[in-house]
Amino acid sequence: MSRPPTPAQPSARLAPIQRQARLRERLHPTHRNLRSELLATAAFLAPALALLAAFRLYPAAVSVAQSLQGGSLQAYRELFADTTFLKSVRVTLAYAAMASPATVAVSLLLALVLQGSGRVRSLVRTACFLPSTVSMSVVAVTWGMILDPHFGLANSVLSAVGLPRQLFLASPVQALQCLAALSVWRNAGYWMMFFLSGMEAVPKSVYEAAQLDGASPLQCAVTITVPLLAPTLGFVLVSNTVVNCLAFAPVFILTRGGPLGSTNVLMYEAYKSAFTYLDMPRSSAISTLVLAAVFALSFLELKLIQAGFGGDRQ
Amino acid sequence: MKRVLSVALTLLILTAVTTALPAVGAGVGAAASAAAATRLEVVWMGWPKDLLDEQLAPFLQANPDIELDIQAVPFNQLFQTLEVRLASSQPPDVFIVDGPLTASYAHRGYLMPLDSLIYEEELAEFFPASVEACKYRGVLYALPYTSSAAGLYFNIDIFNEYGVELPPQKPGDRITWEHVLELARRLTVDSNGDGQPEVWGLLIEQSDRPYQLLPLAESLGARPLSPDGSTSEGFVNSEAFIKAARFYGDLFNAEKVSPVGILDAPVVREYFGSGKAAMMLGAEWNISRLAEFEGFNFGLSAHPAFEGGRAVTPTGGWHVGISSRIPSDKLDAALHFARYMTSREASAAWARLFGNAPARRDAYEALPDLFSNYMWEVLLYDMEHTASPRPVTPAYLEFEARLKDAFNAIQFGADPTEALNEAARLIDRELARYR
Repeated sequence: MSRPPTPAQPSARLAPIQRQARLRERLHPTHRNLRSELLATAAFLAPALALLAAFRLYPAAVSVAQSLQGGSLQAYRELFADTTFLKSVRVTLAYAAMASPATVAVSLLLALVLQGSGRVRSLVRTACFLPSTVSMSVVAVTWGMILDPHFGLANSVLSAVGLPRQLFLASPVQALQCLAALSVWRNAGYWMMFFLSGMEAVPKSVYEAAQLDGASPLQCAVTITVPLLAPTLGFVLVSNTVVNCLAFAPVFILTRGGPLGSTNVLMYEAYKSAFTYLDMPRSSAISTLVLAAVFALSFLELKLIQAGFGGDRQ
Repeated sequence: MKRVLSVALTLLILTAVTTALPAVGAGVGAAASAAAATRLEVVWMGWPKDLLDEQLAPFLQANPDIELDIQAVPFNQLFQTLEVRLASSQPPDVFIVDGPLTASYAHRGYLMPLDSLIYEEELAEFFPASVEACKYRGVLYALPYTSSAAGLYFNIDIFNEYGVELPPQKPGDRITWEHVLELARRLTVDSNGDGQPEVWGLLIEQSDRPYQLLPLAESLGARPLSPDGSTSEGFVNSEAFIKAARFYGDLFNAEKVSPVGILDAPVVREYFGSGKAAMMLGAEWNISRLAEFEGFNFGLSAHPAFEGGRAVTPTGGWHVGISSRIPSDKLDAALHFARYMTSREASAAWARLFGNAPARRDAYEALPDLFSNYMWEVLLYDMEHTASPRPVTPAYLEFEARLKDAFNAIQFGADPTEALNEAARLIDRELARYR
């Protein structure tokens, strides 16, 4: 014997309507709600913004002010007539041009090879990621010992296999290449993780369809994975270029800008100007120019990402 | 929404309170300990910590009312660290001063003038040259901690193995640089023919620093700055200076008797102490440092000079300075500490511990067993007869950096004339800022 259905309580009947009303309110907040929402947002953002202002924006503003020394552009005028600075710009660009594409290529290759599950794969992934967890100073000191031109491991290995010994960091030609290689070694694993997470976002069905059509793994990688990774690729390339434009630690520890200024990147030149040559306006002017360049690069990055998402919608 | 807001505010207040609490606690702690002890912040040279501890132990034991916060900074970062700290609103109370930088720090008002705080008699035992180096425009700004000298160290076993006669080992008896080059050629050995010598002829301990390289130019009659210290054009790029710099560059490039790019003094010492070089131009502290290499058989000859040139040897040392902005309640403790560090006992102790030459006579008398060694006699003779201090200029830091850049470039194969012309241009630009 079945019980007759109990009539729903008025409050229970109203529940879906109340829920809808709350949802509507959230989507189209009234003036009062909007204010408290803004307040909450501000409260949550305040600690981060305060730190950003104190440790990033304020020093940047001080640096810009110092570079202008009483409203004069003298420091900038001197910079653009200064061969040391212009050479430093070239060195920085050369470094970024070597290190950034190489890092992106290696990290993308690693991601392509190491995507998917399996114990060996995850072990190798961890191994590739490890260098990025080590501090740059430790990396630099270790590589300094390996690349020592006279008694380093690298030359011992070269001699053992019958190849000529190299000067590495003591060579005006090879030093910058060595620093770029060191940067690739340390950062490739880090950026690989971005590519791996980007690959996770590619729907499996696309690959299944391609496999049904008889596409090889290489064809899948070239025609599906890489094009769909475009936004990630843009982000990694630009972020990595920014990181490389700000390179300092390996230069400071390993080469001190030498030999013959071949590794004298802008951040090191700014450092030397301030603390060795005691020329604060010059140092600040260099930092400000680097800041402007990095800002422009970041803007480009945002545009690239937006373009990437725009492409997705089409 | 209200709930979100109140949670956010509570979190913020909690964060603020938890951040402030330790600060309050620290304040109470500091107040409590201030009553008991004066805490001196000291920026010091990054010598081995165990040696520093041993050096400071007697002071701390005798002065329980003074606490020392020793911040030991490695040599390669020391001057930059001091620049930042001295320019900040909280400079260290006491700091180590490299001799030639005394003028630079004094000129910029970083050092406390000591004329009215130190009695004339207290300076009697210091070498007059060391006291002079602590003065800027006639005012005493620091106390001498160490002095220095340099000579030509040689590996006796390598000389014997290749049947080469040892350089002289008597005070004032020096060989010429031309002779050193000849010896270095004979003792640069590449036995397996891979183009990489197993034994190098000559190392220079501070291989691109003006301290050890200026005497080469001075031996040929050159000087790096005009007598009034106002200009370097025509001095740092004079014919004699360029000739000395060319000799230096050739050691690394044309002659290949010295290895390019070994710039850190401890690494150079490691090379020499482990038998990878026949000779090393090095400072006095190597007498103690090299003795630490087991079974290493070395000797010392007086600093070389060029044929027909003058015997000139490097000198200068570390000083102890007190910040001009030290709080007045700390000044007595700081003076007490500076006096201790430059005392006969502490100078002698440091000579025994690390091997720096003391800047006062009585410290040598305190350690006859250490200084009766013939190597010390060779160096002391030069300190008295041939030592040439580095130029006095408020722009010394910049001057040294530019000249170091030039020597570095020459070591890596740059043309000495071009490198020194560039150095002269840049040094004069730096000097102009002080006029």
